[in-house]
Amino acid sequence: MGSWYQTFTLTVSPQATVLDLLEIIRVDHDPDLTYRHSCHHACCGQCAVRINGVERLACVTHVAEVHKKNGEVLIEPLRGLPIVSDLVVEMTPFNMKLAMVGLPSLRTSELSGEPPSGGAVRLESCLECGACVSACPVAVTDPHYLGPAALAAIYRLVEEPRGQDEVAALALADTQHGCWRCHTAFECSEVCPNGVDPGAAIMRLRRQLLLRRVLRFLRLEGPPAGQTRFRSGT
Amino acid sequence: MTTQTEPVSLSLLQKGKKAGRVWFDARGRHLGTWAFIFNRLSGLLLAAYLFVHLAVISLLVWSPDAYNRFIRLAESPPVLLFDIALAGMLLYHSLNGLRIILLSLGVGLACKR
Repeated sequence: MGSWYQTFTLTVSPQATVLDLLEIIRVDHDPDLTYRHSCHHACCGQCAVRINGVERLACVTHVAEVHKKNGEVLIEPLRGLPIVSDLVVEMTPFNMKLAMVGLPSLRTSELSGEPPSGGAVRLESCLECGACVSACPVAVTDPHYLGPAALAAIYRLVEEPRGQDEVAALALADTQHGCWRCHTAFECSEVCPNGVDPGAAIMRLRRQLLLRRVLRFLRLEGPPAGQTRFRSGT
Repeated sequence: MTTQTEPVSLSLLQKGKKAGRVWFDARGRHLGTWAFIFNRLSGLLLAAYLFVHLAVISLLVWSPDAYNRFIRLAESPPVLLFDIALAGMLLYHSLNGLRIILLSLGVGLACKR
């Protein structure tokens, strides 16, 4: 089945968010419309879509700030992930790449209850919304590329291993589908709704790997992973 | 709260575009994507020029006259303009490569945006 656009004409207040628009459409115009949302305040990352070509969270994007001069708002699903229906994409490929890294790294002090037995559980600050993958010109054309979120997670793990295997994580990044596949467009960092800055994390991973290669070439002992400190954007 | 209302036209895409067009889709994108697009284009054109260059050099094997005819053509203004454009692309591709090397060494990350 091919692609198509559906156009709805609505009258809304300037304070309305794009998620409000979708809910109005679903209630008043098209009950079949499918989209994903949960928290309504930029915590869950479920409502990430492309709004006028840019990845944003629909729940905190006001119509007034994104509509064109003619009042048009173009909403598309995220790129680089299989489309399930309308604006819903399948997040499994994205989540599997994060799982390969080991889902670092929530500080124990930030957990509301008892920490899980495995220690850290996910990358701090990352909403796992998939916006970075959709914005990356490489991730959307190379399904094997680990992608900005997973690489940022690897850098976070290397920076602060907390008992996890940072050598294995670095090996995961040091492949043709790892940090060397990035073409430094930095769109991932531009669209990240929570300031994770995956682009900078990928560059710092490269620096770590280059430093280790040089030290190995000089037959010097490389620094243990995580001891070469950089300012973290995560 | 303001009660002013404004009409909004909402378009929803039901299925994604072909991935092949993504490289050159700069809608809503930032400077980094333009750098990426120009890098791809200049790289493709430089690679294509390499084959043209090899073909021109191989004219010498064919006959010296054929090569001399090409050299006279190469001195014409349109071809000289093409040479200048080619040199510009080569300069851009090299400088962008240098930018990527510096960023990969952690240099200039703070001002990359």
